[in-house]
Amino acid sequence: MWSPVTERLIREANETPIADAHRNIVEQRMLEVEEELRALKICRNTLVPVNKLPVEILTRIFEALAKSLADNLDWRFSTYKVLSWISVTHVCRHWRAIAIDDATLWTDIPIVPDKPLRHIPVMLERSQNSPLSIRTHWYSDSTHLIDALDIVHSQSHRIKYLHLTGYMDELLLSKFSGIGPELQSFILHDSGFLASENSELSKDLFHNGAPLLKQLEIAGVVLNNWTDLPLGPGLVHLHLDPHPHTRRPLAQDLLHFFGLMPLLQTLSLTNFLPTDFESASNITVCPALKSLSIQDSATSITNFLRVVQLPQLHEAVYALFGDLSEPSNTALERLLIAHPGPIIENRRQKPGAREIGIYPIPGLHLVERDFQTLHTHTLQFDISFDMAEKDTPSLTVKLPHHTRIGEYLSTFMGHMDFSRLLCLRVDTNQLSRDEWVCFSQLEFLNKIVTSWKPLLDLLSVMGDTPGNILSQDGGLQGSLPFPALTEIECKEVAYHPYKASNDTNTQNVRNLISILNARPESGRIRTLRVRYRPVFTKTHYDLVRTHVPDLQVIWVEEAEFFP
Amino acid sequence: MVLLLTSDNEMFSVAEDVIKRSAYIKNMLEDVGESDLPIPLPNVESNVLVKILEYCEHYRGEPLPASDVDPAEIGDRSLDIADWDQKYMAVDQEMLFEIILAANYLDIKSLLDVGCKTVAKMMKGKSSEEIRTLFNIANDFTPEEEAQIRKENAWAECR
Repeated sequence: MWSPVTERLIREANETPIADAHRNIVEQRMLEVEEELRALKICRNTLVPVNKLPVEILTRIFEALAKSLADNLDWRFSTYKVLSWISVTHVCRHWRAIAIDDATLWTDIPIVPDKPLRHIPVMLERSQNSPLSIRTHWYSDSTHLIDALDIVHSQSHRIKYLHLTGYMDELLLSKFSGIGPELQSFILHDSGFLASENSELSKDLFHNGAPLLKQLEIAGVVLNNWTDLPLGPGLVHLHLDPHPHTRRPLAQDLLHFFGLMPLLQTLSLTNFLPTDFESASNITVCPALKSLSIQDSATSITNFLRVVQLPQLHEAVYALFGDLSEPSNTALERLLIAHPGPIIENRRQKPGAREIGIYPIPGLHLVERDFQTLHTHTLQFDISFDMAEKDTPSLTVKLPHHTRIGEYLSTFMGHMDFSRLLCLRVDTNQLSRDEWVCFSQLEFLNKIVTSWKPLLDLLSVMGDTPGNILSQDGGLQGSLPFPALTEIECKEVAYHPYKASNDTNTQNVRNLISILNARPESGRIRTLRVRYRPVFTKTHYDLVRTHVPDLQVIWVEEAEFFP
Repeated sequence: MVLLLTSDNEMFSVAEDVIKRSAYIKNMLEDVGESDLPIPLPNVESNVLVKILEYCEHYRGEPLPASDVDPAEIGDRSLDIADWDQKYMAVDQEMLFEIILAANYLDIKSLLDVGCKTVAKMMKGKSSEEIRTLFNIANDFTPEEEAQIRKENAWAECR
């Protein structure tokens, strides 16, 4: 059963007169057997399916795992999780050798203050001379962090990606001065609540230039020296969201730099448009720009669009602030006219919007340097166009807070063709009955996604008898409201907000049933998707199922969130 | 149509626009030109080729991914996998690795990428011991090596 050597050692154990000597021999044999066993394990490991993969594929898998974790670095997601991929180096000898030999695997170095930073020298060594990605979330200084950054600074010549978030200060930025020769991506996000008018970006940061830079993203710092940024011909992505104390650039300077960046594909500017565009006489072309995102006044964006041509524009996001109080939506109207693409042409030739989403944008509102937890009522108006219209850029307009969509709806409808609209998503409480009426005669609109409050108004419009609805021009509309509608999705169901009694809710369900049943065969609603909320109970679900038998009711339970 | 001969001697007749997702076959067709002779695939068995063709058929007509994109660059660094791809990859481990090997051999970049992401996703969040169990790998480190690894990588394990 055992090997002859082992058999003999066991047999002789009781016969030997010198126990110590025999024990030494047995221990030696044990080591030999362990080695033998390990050799067999190594051999066996070569035979498992995963190890049929060649080294380059295992390397690729390890790198995919590491990269998927690297982007998750922030103050809630500390270093050890970002580096949890390291477990692959502990699986077996074969994997460990592959991982340690792969310099690329060790190039993405996270730095989080107050966490052990012993990984930095190890990773720098194993990364050999490969270009580095350094990501740090800085919110407090500490001696060991400064030490770590000193080590990184010694390698600044090979930093390819540098992503800094948190509270910036001169000490941190000084640790990266002179970066440049290998730099391809630089992201600096200063946390707004600590940013100050003194957080000026140091001129020294890029004193060596950054000839390979493709991505530049800066937020929260004062950018009065923005012309010192490496805005070179290789730049592909540019995002500038400077501190409010930043002076806006002059039009001729900004246009000059656009002219130096022929490969620019993504441009995002927040309150950084010049105010003197009207003085600019020359048209500047951004030949490769595909994605444009601007937060500014409608007038500034309009003026920008007048002097900058964007022949490849694929996606535009305008967040409007400041000047929408003009009568008759003039500023918005001018912007929609200036927006590139055929949507502003003769109405008959406009490409059809396929889908509209109207969303609130929740969040904190920054007033000066203090956060105020205001419920901002910013509305986002997303428009997706017919996929066949390849040259129509998708458009998102974010409206200022305290606005109602109704104030702007007629302007949107006047400058875009909604007649081919298929889907309307309303994720705001601010769509009234009159605004629903605007959509009620669209002949292809087959799906509505809505939240709780507008549902009653929608039901009210759906319940109107044809011929009783006043159209926008004051005439009577003659056909069934929402004639092509087949699916309604209620993201939240609360038929009467907050204080509704069970009886009220049940009455509203009965109202829904009667409205659905009143629709003719050609206009039946086929699907009702309801997300669970306490006010839409199993009883209500059963009630709808029983009384509208041809309706598919999909009841999405979210009881885990709302027990 | 393109004729493909697998390692177990099965012949497949495949539309050219389907199999051209394989850069290997595409280059071969461009080099050799039209031919009635089958292209031998000595590294691919018929059951694996069936799966590969299912993938190529599904993505027929879709643009081929650019070959010059630096995967480390800005872009998809997540392990997100499209729904259809996830279902397609829901196979036993042996087949999963065979698909990856075939995608590598046939130079189907997008499929290789999905395969690698699938395996990486299987490992995500798992300890080394759990990964061993997942792939039926034996721990072949000596106790001394294990101690060394633990010491060396203590920074990755602190919580």
